[in-house]
Amino acid sequence: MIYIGSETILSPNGNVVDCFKKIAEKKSGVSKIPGNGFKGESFYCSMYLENRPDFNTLAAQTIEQLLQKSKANLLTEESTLLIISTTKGDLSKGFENAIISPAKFLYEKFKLKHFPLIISNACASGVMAINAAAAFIENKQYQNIIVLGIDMITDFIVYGFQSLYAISDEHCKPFDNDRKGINLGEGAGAVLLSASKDVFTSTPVCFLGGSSSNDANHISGPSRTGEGLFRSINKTFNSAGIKTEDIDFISAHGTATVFNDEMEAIAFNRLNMQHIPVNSFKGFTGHTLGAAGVIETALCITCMHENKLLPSAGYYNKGTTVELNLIKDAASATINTVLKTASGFGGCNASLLLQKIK
Amino acid sequence: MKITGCCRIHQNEVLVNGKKYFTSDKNQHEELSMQLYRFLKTEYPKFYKMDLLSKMGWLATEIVCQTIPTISKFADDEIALLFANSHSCSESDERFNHSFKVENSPSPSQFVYTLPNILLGELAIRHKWYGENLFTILPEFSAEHFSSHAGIFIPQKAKALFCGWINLFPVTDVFVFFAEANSETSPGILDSKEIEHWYKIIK
Repeated sequence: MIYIGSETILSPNGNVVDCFKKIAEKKSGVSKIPGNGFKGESFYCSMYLENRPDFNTLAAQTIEQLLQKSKANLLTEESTLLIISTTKGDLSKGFENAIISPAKFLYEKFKLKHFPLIISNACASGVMAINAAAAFIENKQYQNIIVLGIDMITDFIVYGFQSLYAISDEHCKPFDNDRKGINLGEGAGAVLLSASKDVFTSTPVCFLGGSSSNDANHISGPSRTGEGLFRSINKTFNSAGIKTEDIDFISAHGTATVFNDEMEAIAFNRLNMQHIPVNSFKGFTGHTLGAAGVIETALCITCMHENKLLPSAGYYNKGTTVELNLIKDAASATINTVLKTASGFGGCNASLLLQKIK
Repeated sequence: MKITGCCRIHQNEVLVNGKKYFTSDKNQHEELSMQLYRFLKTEYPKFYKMDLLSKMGWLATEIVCQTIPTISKFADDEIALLFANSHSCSESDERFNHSFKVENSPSPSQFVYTLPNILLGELAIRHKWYGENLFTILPEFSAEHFSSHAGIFIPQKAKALFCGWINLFPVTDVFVFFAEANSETSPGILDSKEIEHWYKIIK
C-alpha cells in the first residue's frame, strides 16, 4: 500500500486550512492586479500582494510546513527523495539555471541525501510527479517521497498566455457558458508519499494508482475527443481495479479556456462520469501551472478528511456540449474515492486515484 | 531490458548504434539540424516550425526509428518517453523574451515552445504514440537516471522505452536510445553501464 498525506499549501490565500475554508465560503482567491498586462491591461490573478516571498524561500517554507506534519528527520534519510514539479522554476536566476538553481538550493539547505528530481511536464507536472513518486515507492527505490509543486507569476508567463489570448479579463469561470480563459495563480503545494503509515503525524489516504497519456494530436490545443485524458483515466482505473461507480468526487483540471473544459467534459462523458460531482479549484487558486496538480491533490485529501464537496468557483450555467455535475455549493458527502486529473501543453494528460484507508 | 538502437550527436558528429552516420561541416545547432534533416530525406513540414530542442530530439528519435523496423509491432500506447536535459527550454525562453522585450510583440508561436515537454508532444504527434511521457531536468547527463527511472513505466505502464538526453549548451550533446524487454533480461531493469557505453562512444 502507498500512503499520501501531510498535505500542505503555501499560497497568496494562506495555507491548506485557509484555502479549504475560503473555498467552502465561496470567497474568491483571485483579484484584479492593476497594469500587469503587456500593454498595461489589468488582469485577475491569485498573486501575493504584499510580503511576496522569493522562489527559494517559498519552496523551503512549504517543505518545512510539510515536515511539521511528518515524522522528524524524514527529509535527510537515505530512503527519502524530493521531487520538484515546476514549469518555469525561478526565472530570476536566468533561463539556463531557472529550474536547476532552486533544486541546488534545496539540496544544500536541507542537506538532502539525493539531488532532487525535477519534473517539468507543463500543467500536468504535479499529477505526473505524484505518479512518479508512487512508482518509485512501489519499486522499493525509495521509502518516502516529498513532492513539491511550485510556480510563480512572472511577466514572461503573463505575456505568454496573453499572446495566446488565453487570459480572462474577469474572474475565470471553469466549465461555465461564459468562460473566457484562465486566471493565473502562484504558490506552492506539497504532499508526502510513503510505504509506511507511521511517517505521517495525521491520517494519510491511500494512493491507488495513476497514469499519463499523450493526445498525439496538437502541441498547444487539447484533443477535440479528449482522447489522451480518456485513455489516462481508463488506464488508472484498470491499474487500480476501480470502476466509474466507485468515484465520489472528481477534481478536474478546469482551466476555464473554451477548448480545455470542453475536452474534459467529453472525456468524462466517454467514461460515463457525467453524474459524478466535479469541480475545478482554479476559480479560487488561479492556474498555478506546475504547482496546480499538487495544490489540488492537497485540497482533495482535505475534502476526503472533512467529507465535504467544495464548490467550483465561477460556475453558473452549463457551458459544455455534454452534461457534467458541477458542484455549485459546498456540501457534506461521504468521500471515499477521488479522481484527480490534469492536462497540459504538449498534449499531456494525467490522472490519479485517492482512497480513504479502509 | 536491452538497448536495441541509439543515436548520439555531439557537436557536429552523428553516430548511429556506434557507427558514423553523418558529419556536418557546420558547428551551429541550427545549421546542423537542417543539414541532418535534409540528409534524412524525410518529408515532415511540421519540422520547420519546431524550436531547436524539439528539432534535435525529433531528428535523433527519427533516426533510431528508421534503424528499428520492429518498433511498429508495439501498440500505440506501449512506448513510454523519458527525456531529460539540464537547461530545460532556455533557448526558446530567450527567443520569447526577446519577442516582448526587444520586438515589443510577445510571440505566441515562440511561447508555446517555452516548455521542455513540447518535444514529447512533437514525438507523440509524429508517431501517434499515446503512451506515458515525462520530461525531467538534471544537473548533467546521468546514465544512472535513465536506468533507475525506467521502472516508473516498465513493466506496468509500458513495454518499451524511448529515452533522450537533449542538451544544446554549451555544445550539442544529444543521446537518444530505444530499450525493450528481451528474453535474457528482466523488464524494468536497464543496465546503466550499457547506457554509459553508448553515450561515451563520442565524448
